[in-house]
Amino acid sequence: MRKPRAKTLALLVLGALFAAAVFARIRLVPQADIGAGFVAKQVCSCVFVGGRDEQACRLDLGPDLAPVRSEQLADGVHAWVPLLASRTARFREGTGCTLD
Amino acid sequence: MLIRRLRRLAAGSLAAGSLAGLILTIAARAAELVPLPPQPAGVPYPTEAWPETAPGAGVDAGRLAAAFESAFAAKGRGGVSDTRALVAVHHGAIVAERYAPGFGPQSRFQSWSMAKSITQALIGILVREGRLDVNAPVPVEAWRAPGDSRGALTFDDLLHMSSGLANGDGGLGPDAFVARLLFGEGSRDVFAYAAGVPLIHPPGTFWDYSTATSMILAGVVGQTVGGGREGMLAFMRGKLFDPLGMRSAVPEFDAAGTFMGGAFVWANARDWARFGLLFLRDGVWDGARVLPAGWVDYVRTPAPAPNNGVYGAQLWLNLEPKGQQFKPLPGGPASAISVNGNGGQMVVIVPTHDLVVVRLGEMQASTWSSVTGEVAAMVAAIPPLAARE
Repeated sequence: MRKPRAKTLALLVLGALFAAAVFARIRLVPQADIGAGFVAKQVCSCVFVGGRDEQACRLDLGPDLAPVRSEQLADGVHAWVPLLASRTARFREGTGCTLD
Repeated sequence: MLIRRLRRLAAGSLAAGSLAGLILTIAARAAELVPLPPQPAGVPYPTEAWPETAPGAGVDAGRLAAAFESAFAAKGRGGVSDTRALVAVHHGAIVAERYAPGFGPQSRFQSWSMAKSITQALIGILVREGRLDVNAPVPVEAWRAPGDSRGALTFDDLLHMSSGLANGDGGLGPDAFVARLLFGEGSRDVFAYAAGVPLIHPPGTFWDYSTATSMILAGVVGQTVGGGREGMLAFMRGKLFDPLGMRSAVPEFDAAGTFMGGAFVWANARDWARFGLLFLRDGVWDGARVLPAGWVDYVRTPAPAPNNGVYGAQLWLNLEPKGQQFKPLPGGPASAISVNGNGGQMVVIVPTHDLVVVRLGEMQASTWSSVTGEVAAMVAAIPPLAARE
């Protein structure tokens, strides 16, 4: 009686983990990728082309994007969602910011 | 229907040359268009500096000042007003101009979709030079296979946001096509991503607002002028920005070197006003033609798709909306042309008032309806030309 129940439980847990991984791959990763891309590009352009400071630029993006972290580089902005996504936008004189 | 038939007729008899079809199409529609006012004698074009003057005779200066005051009232995050730049150009001169604290005449602002009209102007320049034909198929490599129905799509279909391709913006959320295009999986090569979709409506029959479509147009401009990112930048500066004195303009590109012509151009408010003045003056700048004859009439004529009332060619018209569309400037003149971008970016061109209004900033505490209401109030402070005569 005991062994089959443990097996069933283990299968259920594995199944749930698999479903979570699939969900993360299909839903969370693309959303995190877009969020990271959005923050990297918008903050890069706002700072390097718009001439404003990083904090003011982040403030304009609003609280929905708080899970996306960002860091200003010498020539651009790196933005990421831990474990899920990471994008960098680089600035070039004359043509603004470009996502990697 | 008539226009559509004329267009097909024109397209079919185009052995005569690229402009013939355009002129025929325009002639069929131009009767309803309000004339575009000439630059007043003695007022220089703002290629170097903008002429500045106090509001002239007939302008309700108190009402204009009140409209400006009201436009800066809505404060967003951090207490910064949503309107960050507001400029009114009347009879070719700046008559009112104001910036939110921290911003000024040198501050560059993001176009968002106003970039689409810049892309449209670049197409116009190539038409003037005889290098593109609005009624010709759009030369996209991925559509060239025999039997690919996308191969028949014309510049006219794309300029009118009526390609029938499955690449409409689809809203503003993270699942929207436009979000994937600008910031997600499509952002590394926007031209390929925008063009790599199936046709879901017959060309020209269904209007669907599509940033991807403008990216395709920008991609084709890039491949026409050649030279990659640098070649495109040189073309944009040499043929559009420099002649107008738009020295602050910064177009942005994807990693593949395509101009992000659906969303990413930065420029200061005075340069956006220069861009608006080009359309108000029928595409002529200080005696030199930038856009071909008839181009501004073409772009300010509604796209013929039955579900469109307010979209011309890569800009908005203040006519009667259909379906999900909205009126660009409620309470404003029907002749108004609006170059609009996300967040309430606006270059409003009003031929009946010889007026250009530029509004740039955010829409955190305000809405499209409040922002357009403020711009309409500014227009209402200016006398229409007919009333002066």
